[in-house]
Amino acid sequence: MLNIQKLKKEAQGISVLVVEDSEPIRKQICRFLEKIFTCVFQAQNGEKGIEMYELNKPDIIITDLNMPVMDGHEMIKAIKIINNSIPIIITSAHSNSETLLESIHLGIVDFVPKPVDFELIQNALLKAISKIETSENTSRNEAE
Amino acid sequence: MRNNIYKEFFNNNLIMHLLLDMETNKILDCNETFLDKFNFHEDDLFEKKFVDLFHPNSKVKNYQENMYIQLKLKFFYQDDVILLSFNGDKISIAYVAHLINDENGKKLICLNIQDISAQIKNNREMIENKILLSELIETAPYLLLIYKENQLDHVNIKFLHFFNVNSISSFFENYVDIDSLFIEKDGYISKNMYEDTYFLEYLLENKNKSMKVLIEKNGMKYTFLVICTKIHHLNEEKYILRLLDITYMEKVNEDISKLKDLYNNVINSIENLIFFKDEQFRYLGCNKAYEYFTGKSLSELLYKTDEEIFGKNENSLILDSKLKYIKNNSCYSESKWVKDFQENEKFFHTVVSPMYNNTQVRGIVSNSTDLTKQKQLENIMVTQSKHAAMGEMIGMIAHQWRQPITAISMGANNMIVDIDLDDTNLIEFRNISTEIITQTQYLSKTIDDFRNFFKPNSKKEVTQVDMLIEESFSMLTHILSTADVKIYKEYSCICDIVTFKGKLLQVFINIIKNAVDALISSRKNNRKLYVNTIELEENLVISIKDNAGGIKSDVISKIFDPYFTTKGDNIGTGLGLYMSKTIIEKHLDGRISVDNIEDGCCFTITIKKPNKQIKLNKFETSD
Repeated sequence: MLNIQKLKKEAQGISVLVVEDSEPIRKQICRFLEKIFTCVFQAQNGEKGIEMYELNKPDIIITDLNMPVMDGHEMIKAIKIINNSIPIIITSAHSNSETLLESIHLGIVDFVPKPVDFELIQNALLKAISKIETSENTSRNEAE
Repeated sequence: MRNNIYKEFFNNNLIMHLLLDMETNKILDCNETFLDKFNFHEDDLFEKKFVDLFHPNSKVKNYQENMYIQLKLKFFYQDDVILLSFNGDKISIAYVAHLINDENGKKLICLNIQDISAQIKNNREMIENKILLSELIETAPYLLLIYKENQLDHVNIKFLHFFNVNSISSFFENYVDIDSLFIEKDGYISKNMYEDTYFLEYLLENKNKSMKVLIEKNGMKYTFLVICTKIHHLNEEKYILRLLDITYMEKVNEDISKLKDLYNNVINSIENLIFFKDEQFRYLGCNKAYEYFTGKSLSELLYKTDEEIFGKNENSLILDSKLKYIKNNSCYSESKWVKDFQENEKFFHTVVSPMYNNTQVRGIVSNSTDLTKQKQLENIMVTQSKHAAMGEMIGMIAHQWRQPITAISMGANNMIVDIDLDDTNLIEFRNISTEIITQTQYLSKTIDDFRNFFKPNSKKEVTQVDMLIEESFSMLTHILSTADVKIYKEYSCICDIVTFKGKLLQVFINIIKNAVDALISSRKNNRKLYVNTIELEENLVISIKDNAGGIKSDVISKIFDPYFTTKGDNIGTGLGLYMSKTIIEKHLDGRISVDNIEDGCCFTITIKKPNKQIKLNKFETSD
């Protein structure tokens, strides 16, 4: 209760991109995020995800891994080239060690297994928001 | 008086008498005995000469001259001649002629005649017997030796030829006696066996035993069968010894017994059960393995039918009733569980072939291979593959369920979030609940699909190939969409088939899943799967192709082998394709094959198209 209120406050002015191939899931995630974030973009696969990223430059990305056309890992690699510091959260049913390890190597914020536990996703989102600030601070520090 | 007595003596004498005129040779008188013998009447002889009675072949020419000369010299002449009786019978006679004078000083010839026909006949017979005997001795197929008073008295020419001598004495110039030539060998008679006994006596005593001797000549060994008999002839004891050359027969016997040994060794070395029967299915022979299996010896089986030995018993490797097929000159085979005589269950594959004599079927030869171990292993594999298939199915269910479950839980969570944020909207809640219900229906459908697959579908059902393929795709939707596999379908099998639905479904899912796995590991995009069904005149052909690069050539021949996998130990069981092949070939009587094509591989399944009339037999079940 407190968490979600806090999250809503922290998320003010922050945009998020959801990449998920399953329409019912995407719908539910977006519905939840729209309550919290100012702006929610969505894409149904990695390729579309990159397009949406370049078009809207969201602050946070939440992505599935197994998707047609281009999977989550591929997309993350591509986006990290454009913006290495963007906080990314993975939600996936494939939580085997191999997938996890690759995800960690790609430098993600958190890995939330499916079916999504809302407590976990809220914590992950808080972590991600804090990363945005840190990176903004860092860039500010660098500017100074 | 005296004349009368002489007359009576003359007439009744057993010897025939004739009285001839010496000058004319005419018959003057004869006695009754003569007339009786020749069936003449006294008048028949009137004015006849003695020579007139001669048989035309008799030596008439010099008869008179010779007789007269002799009579003049010695007053005495004897000869034999053939006369003709009144009836024309030939009668051989011997006669003695005397010269006498009558009271007038006239010279008369008195003939005393004896019938010698019987004597001549006997003589001829004796001569002929002698010829026959000599013929028998000389043409006999054995060496013949006749011993008189323990001395070799006579041999036949065969004997002389064999020893290359021309007489008995020349034989003894080279040899001591025949028995000194007998070579010592097991089963053959030789000197050490009779020692002090005279060898002919020994041979006589042991008449009933097989008597063989071995004789060496010019470096060659000859086997003779010895037969010894003792006879009494002309008040003397004689031994007749016959030596029959059986060298060739011995050789043939030896060959036959070698062949028999070989036959026995070969047939009894075979672990398979082998038996042969005649046209009436009576046993003609079998091997040890078959004797052991039935618990009966060959002698108990010989010339009997199964029914005569075992009674009406279905527990037979092959029922005689089924052997009737063989009469059409074709082989017959059958695999089944049968019990041996100790009630142990064994699985045998039996092949029965017609047994030919020239071109005619004269019986059958049956050969049964014990496949108990393989069958048990196969059963284990079936169980293992069932477990593996079940595991895979559970994996697939998990896959299919993940999305709806996630969607459901998120929907519920969203409602909680709304409540927490104090932002409730009943219409929104209704929408979310409807969404959740839709998702649970999807879950329910998935379960129905898979339950269909899992249920012990032991009955054949009417179905269609195209429908089964669609069902397979439906069970794999999530996997296919996640892997982004584009599917190209071309269906044309509209006819109904009667089959074990679940089993065929298992095969399709297995092949499609394999293709998807191969596509995922071999290419990042442009993954394609082609499914093509064709209805031919007699068969239905289903081909499933992918563009996953094909199967390596060193592996392609093994992919249907049990426990063979390319997927790594913890992923593949190596039973999927093996079971697919088993199902297609054994349960559905079809064929399955794999070929590499341009950029992938193609599995082809051929199954028999049913006859137009489909009869669904509810009692037909698979194991």
